[in-house]
Amino acid sequence: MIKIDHLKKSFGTNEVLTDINQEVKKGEVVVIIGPSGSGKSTLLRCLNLLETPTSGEVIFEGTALTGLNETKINQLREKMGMVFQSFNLFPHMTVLENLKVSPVKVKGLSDQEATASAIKLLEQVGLSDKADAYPASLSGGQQQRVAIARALAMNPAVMLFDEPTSALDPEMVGEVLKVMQDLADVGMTMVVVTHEMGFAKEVADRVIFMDGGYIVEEGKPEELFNNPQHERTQDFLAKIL
Amino acid sequence: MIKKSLYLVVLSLIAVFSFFIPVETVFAADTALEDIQEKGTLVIGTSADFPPYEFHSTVNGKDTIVGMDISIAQKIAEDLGVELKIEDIGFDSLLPALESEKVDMVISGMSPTEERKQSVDFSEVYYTGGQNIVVREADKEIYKSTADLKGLKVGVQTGSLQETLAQEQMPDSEILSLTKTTDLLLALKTNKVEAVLMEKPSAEAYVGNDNQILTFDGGFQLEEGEQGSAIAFKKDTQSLVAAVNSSLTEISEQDLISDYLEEAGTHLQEAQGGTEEESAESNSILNYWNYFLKGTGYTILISVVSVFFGSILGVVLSFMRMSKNKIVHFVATAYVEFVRGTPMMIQVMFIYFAVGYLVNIPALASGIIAVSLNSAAYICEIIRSGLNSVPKGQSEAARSLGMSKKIAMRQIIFPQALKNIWPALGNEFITVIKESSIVSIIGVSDLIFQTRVVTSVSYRGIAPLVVTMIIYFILTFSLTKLLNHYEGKMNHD
Repeated sequence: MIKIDHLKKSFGTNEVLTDINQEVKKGEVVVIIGPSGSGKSTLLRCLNLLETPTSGEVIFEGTALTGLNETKINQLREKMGMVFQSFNLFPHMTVLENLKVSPVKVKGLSDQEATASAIKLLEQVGLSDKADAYPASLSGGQQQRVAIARALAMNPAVMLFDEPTSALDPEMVGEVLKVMQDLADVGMTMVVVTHEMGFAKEVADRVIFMDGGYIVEEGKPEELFNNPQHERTQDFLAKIL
Repeated sequence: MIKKSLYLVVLSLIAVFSFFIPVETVFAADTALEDIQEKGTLVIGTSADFPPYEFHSTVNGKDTIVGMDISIAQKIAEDLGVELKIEDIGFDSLLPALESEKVDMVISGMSPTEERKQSVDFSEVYYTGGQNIVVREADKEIYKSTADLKGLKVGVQTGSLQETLAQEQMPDSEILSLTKTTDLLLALKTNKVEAVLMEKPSAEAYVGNDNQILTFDGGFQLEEGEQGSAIAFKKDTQSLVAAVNSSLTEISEQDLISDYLEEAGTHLQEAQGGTEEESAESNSILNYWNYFLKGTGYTILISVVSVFFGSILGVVLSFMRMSKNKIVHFVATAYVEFVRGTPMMIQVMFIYFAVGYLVNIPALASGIIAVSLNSAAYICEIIRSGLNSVPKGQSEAARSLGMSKKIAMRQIIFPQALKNIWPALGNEFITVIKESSIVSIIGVSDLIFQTRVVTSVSYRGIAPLVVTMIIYFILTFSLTKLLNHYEGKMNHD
């Protein structure tokens, strides 16, 4: 579904991603782990062109992304839902409006259709009673569940998660991971950058360990966590587990 | 590419500035007199705060400019067979107004000094007074001559002959120079200065109506020509000067000046409000409510129109500043920095006199244009910083949902930015209400201008200031309350 081909990204002279080659299949859940500054968030942001790759190519459902015009890029982003570390809900809109704005303004759905689907999604993330609340009145965990529902409202083919639980109080991490696990269970294609090793072990089909802009090692979670091949992977896992 | 755009910028700068270089007018036959007779009006410039020469008075319930100079101008207009039109402008701005052909001639008790003769022509001297000194009644035993004032603070009208006299012949004295005579007398009465230098007839007119002050001849050494008053004309308008001189000769032969002064005296008496005993009542500052009302109306008009156009231009400028096109960005940035880096007073005068040299823009329109252009620069920055204050994550979230830049701006960024823009825009509006008072220098009758008029007709220094302060405060305070109301509605946090 997503093919990453010799992807490089530099900020000025600082090379953040060095020759990344990967493929994500439909229905696959890929978890990217690694120390901070290893380039994992940048890699994720290159997938929907929030960052423009310096060289190389990202191919999504057979379409090469670099060099596309603005309209095409927007169409493509509709199919890639993204969830941010800092939720980024729209504070001037109610929860329901947050879910509806893009389907109505971008996809041209009627208000009724958008409302119906938004209510279903809120049920799915367990927040039906918060439809008319403003984001500021919700807890962090609730906000992140709304953010996931908002991304799902565009009916995406793949979901990108950029450290979705890093900004949460520990007691709220579980409710967000539960929603993500439910998504994986129904076959959503997911790329997740996270420090939640428990989630990686249980939900991931494949775990990628990145460091210094390289993919150091990848494999099934049991292989990578129980029998890491590289010294750097061993070091990293020793520190966090 | 950069070379090319630099070239373009330089070219456009040259084009813009060449506008402001006064073009040497092609020397043609002097048609000044014919021109006036053809258009049927004689426009005179005067600074109507100088009784008995020229001042405001209420005639048949209407605010009118009267005085000796006005009677002379009326006679000249009649002799030329044209209508008289009076432009009331600050004394400092009279000669620029003549220069830029806003007025045909200036009659404002002006002395034909050598310095002035270098830039304008003068008629024959039509009135010769002397230079007096005005002091407080209470000090009559202390200050009896100019020598007694050595080393003390004296007041003069800015740009006047008295200012030069004080500088040259009272070198030890500290000089306070103000635009308006009435402000000077207020300064005298409140002990800000010990004496005020004033032309003899004016001094006597004021002293005759105010028993707290008295006057004596200053005994200054005067160059020939410095004592008298003459009418100023733009250079090379001999035909007009000659016609005016013949009217002046007639006036002096028939001794019309004393009639004019007598008439001016009755207006002064009316303005003063009857006898001393009655004056406390009938001279209540509230009797001048129509002046304040008119001034408030103009101040509101200027502010509202300027903020409206300023906002539109400000939005355009802010998008230009955020543009990726380097030339567009440069032009907007240069504009904002330049406007913010120069005083609004100069901008107002520049629009009225310099641009008015090419296109004749009435004072009110000039004032509104200048305030709008000024306000636009500040509003541009308010909008820009408002948009920048929205966290980057908001636009990333919007874009990741497939929104185009336009939809993201309209649905997500702008509504949030508005929360920051709104209060700052309100402050700008309040600033404009207060700062727009600067347009009074080109004779727009806003609240400040009317305050000066009231001060000069009522001979009251402090009361008009209090009324004006209260009016400004009511305007700004009710605006603040109104804006807070809408701000509250926007808050969801």
